Amino acid sequence: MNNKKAQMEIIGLVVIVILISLGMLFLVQFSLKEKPDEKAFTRKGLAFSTLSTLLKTTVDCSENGERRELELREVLGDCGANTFLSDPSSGETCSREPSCDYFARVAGDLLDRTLGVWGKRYEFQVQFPRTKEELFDPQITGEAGGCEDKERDSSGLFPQPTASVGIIESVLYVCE
Amino acid sequence: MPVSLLTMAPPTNLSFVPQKKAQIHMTETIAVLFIFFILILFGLIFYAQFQKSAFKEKAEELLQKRATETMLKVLFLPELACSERSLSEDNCFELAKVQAVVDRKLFEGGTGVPTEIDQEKRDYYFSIFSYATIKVQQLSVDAADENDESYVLYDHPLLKFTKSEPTFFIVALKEAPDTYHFASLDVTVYS
Repeated sequence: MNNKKAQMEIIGLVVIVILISLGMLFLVQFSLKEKPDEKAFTRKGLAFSTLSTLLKTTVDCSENGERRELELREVLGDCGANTFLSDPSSGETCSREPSCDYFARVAGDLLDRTLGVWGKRYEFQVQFPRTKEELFDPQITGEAGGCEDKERDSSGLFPQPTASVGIIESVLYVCE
Repeated sequence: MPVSLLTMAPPTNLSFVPQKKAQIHMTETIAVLFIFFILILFGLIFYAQFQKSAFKEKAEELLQKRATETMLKVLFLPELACSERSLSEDNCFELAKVQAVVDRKLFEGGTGVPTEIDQEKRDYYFSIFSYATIKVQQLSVDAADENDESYVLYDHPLLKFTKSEPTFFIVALKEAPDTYHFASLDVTVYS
């Protein structure tokens, strides 16, 4: 009878210890649970405003003494038109540099000096929606790389008509 | 009834057993309670530590939220926003307005001898931005030019801050009539 009593008490103690351990486990599990990323909204807005501003930016494409200011959007449109020329070097230029090279250089530089410095990666893609052909190969990405296999936020598609090659669509992806 | 000392049986321990049993039982109960309270104490210590780190995390979260809110307020300020014929443009500041804000220290109550109106203006913008630093950096298209321009719109850091949270955004800086510059908006909040 006494042995049984002692055993019952020990069982009681064990139950208490198990209950407290379970309680602590739940607490730890709750604290380690991933919180939803509240920065996703800001990142998405950043992607949109970055691409919108980039395409609106005015650049000086003067050459041969002729003053010529264009928006980067127009330089991109010229780049699209150059793609289908049999001799791309005979196409549109900006400050004596082929439009595609000029755009890739300036866009990459501006994005590296902002998004790159802020520790963000990006991918800038331009394609012809009908053929899915990319205008830039390789894509314009940051010095730290693109957004492969990462959770990324999109600026949304920015379609623009061009004079000779139809519509081209730009999109900027930003990730951490 | 008289008892013979010779025939009286020696006292045995049987009369003390119930008391001993009770004492042992009491000791067991006290030991159990003691261990129980020790476990509760460990639980409380652990919970206190957890609450401490949770509180720190919450404070960081609130600071980030404040940084995002301040950024959004700046982006939609009519004192800076691009507007043409009462139509406003998103993610765009007018260069002339930015320069005016900087030259006249509009968000900091003006230059020169502070008047009551200046103090009101200072209080008004402080109620919007609190302790923060707001800068617009115009980037030149050609990095080699080194023609980047920086405009400090509001500079009110907390003197002994423990934490600061910078946030960044891209805005277009419009120079009349149709020239757009690529610019970054840096907002740092302090706590």
